[in-house]
Amino acid sequence: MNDQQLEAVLRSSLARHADTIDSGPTWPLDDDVLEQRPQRRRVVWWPIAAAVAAVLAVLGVVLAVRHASSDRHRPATPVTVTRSACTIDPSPAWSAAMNAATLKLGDTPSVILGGAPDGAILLRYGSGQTAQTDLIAPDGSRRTLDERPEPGGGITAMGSEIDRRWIVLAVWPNTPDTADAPTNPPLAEFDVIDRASLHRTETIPLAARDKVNAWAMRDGHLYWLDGHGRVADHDLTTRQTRTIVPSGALDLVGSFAGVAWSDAHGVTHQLAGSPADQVPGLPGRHPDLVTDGTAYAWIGNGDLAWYSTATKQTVLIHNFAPGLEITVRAVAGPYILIDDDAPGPRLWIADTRTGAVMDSDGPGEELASADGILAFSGMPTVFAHVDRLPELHC
Amino acid sequence: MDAGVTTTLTAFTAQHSLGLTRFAYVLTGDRQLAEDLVQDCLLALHRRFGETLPIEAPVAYARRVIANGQASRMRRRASLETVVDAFPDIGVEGTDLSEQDAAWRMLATLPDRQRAVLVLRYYLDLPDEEIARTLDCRVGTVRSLAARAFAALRQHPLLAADVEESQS
Repeated sequence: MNDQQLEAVLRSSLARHADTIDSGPTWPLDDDVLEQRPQRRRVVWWPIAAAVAAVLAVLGVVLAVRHASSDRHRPATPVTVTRSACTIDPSPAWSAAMNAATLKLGDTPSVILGGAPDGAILLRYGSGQTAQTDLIAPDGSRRTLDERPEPGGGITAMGSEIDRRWIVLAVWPNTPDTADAPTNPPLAEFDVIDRASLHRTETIPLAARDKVNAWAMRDGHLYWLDGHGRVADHDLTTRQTRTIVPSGALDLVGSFAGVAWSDAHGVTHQLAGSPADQVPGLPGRHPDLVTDGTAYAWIGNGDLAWYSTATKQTVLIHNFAPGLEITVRAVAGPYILIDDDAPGPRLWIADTRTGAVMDSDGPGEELASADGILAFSGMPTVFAHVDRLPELHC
Repeated sequence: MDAGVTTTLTAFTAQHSLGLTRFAYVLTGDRQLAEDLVQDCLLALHRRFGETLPIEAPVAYARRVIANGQASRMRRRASLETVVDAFPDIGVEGTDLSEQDAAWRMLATLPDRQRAVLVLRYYLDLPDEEIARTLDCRVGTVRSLAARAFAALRQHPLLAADVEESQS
């Protein structure tokens, strides 16, 4: 059974079982229902967390002292340092650094759309009447690239692409939040902007029936996958589009290293660049690898792993959130940004210099990091120079 | 009714309770739990907004509350569970086991968030960006969870048995 057949089976099964439900709760809830409802039980985890943090802090200090001498000297040959995680609260210095790096956007919701290898980022925010997309240069200067009435003017999408040469805004149509009808608006267009002039060079319209659902940019080419299993290759310089996979593509993934599509048999076909699971200078393959261009981070054997191509040093952090499924979201210099599987957005920040791990006390819904810049959106939205952030200590 | 216009909780419930309960059911596989989650959701809406819902997208908001409620329950349950050598049979409520298909049973074996992604994708047909908003995670995480879920399902013996049965 290939993935398309599996999808069909899932759709059918879910729909069939959903249809066995013929009623739902009413409002107001009946008194007897309210009486039967258990009081929401708060999970008292702070005492446990404090105890664990205390133990880990002791271990962390011991290990930090043990490794301090090796840390003081930049290693000439590859070396691996092991640290034990310790959980800490945000320090006043960290809070001050975040306040200083917070973008002044008022109360408007904002989102990081994408980041370039040189540290420039795309930011979308709304005023209620308009949705605006800005380019923030590495020096912090901002230029407005796009402004649309809201609602009705389309929405620039997360996953918009930016590199040193081009910006591609992916634009969804604005659709109302209809009742039972699921919203699955197909992508409406790509707007291409030349980073040198910040002028729009073209708009690539997309047919709704084609349901473009994945895209990636690499080396002056924009690739997209549509609902028919086709992959298109659009040359941003010549503005020509050609179909390079006529059918059978199930997924298209862009990464820092390249662009690839996969077929129904799970076989990956590289379109540009290289696979994104290899660290330059290290053996082995590392799924879900992230990088800021110099530092790399991944999860290996349950540890947080970090490697710098500048120092040739590997750091392994043990005992981070045992029992939780974690995802490495990004790496920015010595910091690793991590999501866990707990409900709600939660961004953990680990400092590979010490093993200290901190709940950032705020959502990092979308983030980007490259070339010394770390940006994440939520409330607030932060654009920080990594070398101005304080070291986290156990 | 335009869901973007302010509505009352009573009207919202009358219009969407069934749809939300169906969503909660395919999310959890448990009828009673599904109703509990929807009731929790209605209580949460009432606690936060009162009788009038001044939010742009109440259905999406409610789905998010239900998905987070399910994740919280799973997490609380996991923290109280004792690991045993042999797993008991998965309980089935209301529907005869023989009527259930392999895909449904396989969904019950998936981790909570992987199942949630499949339900949002293949029951509600939500795009990955909307799924990411519902589950409070990034789009890349959605795709990663979906890929892991598919990898697990492809290897599952129940599915293999179904394929063999259909081919014989």
